[in-house]
Amino acid sequence: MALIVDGGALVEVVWVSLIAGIGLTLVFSVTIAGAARASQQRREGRAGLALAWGAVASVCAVACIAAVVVAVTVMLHK
Amino acid sequence: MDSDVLLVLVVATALAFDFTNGFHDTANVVATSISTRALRPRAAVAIAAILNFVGAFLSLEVAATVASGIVDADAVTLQVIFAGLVGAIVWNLVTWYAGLPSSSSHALIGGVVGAVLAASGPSAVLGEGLLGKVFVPALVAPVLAFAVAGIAIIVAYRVVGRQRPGPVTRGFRTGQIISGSLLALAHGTNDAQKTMGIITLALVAHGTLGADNPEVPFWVVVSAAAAIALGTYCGGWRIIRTMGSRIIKMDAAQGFTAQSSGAAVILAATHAGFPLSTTHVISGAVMGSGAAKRLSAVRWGVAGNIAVAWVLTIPAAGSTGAVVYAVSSVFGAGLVGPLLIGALLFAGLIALGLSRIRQTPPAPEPT
Repeated sequence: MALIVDGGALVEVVWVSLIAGIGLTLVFSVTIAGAARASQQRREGRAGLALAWGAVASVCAVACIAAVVVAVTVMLHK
Repeated sequence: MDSDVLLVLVVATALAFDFTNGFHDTANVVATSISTRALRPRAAVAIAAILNFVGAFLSLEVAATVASGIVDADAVTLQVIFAGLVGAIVWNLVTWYAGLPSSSSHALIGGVVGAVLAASGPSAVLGEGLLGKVFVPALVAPVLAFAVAGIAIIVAYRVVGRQRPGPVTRGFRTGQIISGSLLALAHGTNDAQKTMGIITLALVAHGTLGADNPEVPFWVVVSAAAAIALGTYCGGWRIIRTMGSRIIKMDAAQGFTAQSSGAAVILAATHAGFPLSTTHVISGAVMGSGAAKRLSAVRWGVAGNIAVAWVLTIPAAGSTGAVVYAVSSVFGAGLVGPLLIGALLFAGLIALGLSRIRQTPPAPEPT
């Protein structure tokens, strides 16, 4: 079986898929939640908290953009 | 002279297959975006078509052709390639008519394997290659995508659960445009190359290109990219409806999760050099994002029909490829057989198109 299927590649696909798929969803969800909370705190007049949630959302958005860049790089170098 | 005309026929059939590939697989890329209203249907297929076209130029590593390691390379002739392509086209059209997402790569492999079986017998088919490159990945792809999307949607609901639904939905819809675009780009990179590989193989079999490290001619790249983009733009709406709304009724978070998990699995497989079908991955991800919310949210009857289509893909396309080769070889090794079958296929497609125009009103675009 090991000769028929590239076991190393299969294991790599499984763990990279799990980390990338769940990680990207987590980071993007935090971006959305952070932006929503920042907006809510701003409406309630809590500038400090709004700024903090805005920063969280921004960092996560940058991480998502980085993930897209990595994805395109994988396509370019396959 | 005959072999030149046969080559032209094979190239035209390969481009026709490429068109059905784009047409058939549009759903993989756009169905979830349309279903959750992240994009209007025409905009979704237009973006997918453009990115499929661009994706075809991103990488030209056609070192391994689609059936390499699965059939004996010496058994692959122009007639075999033609018969394999016809088998794949017919299966793509049958599954499109039934509204079932199935793998175009597996249809092509099945068609070529069937034609090789008919031409050279079982010894020309490499069983281990078929198992390792087709059957095992066909099991891994949907199960892995199901698991990744299932866990991811639970994480997403946990994180955004207490927020107002309006901004959350808008956020996930925006994310879907990006993840859908990535999928379209990846699809163009992977699937247009199958056609480039098959045309290159035909050029080698014809003697136009040398067998040692043949370079893909630029006209092959452009024509394959154009055919898959055109097919994508035409959009297989029947499969889009199945994938977008008949398996599960999805919200924007599920749509984003299915697409991003699918993209992660496809790109991880691309990176590792493990061949996975885009269709199997996205279908598994759609089911996973639905089942994790509620098992009964998935219409398991529809999912079962899709699984049956997957199981039947190789045997059905293979049988068609074998019959086409057998009929074609009755007229000898020359041009007559493929030309007759090509004419029959063309007439069949025209008849199918005319009957569709006469019998059914234009399908309203899903909103």
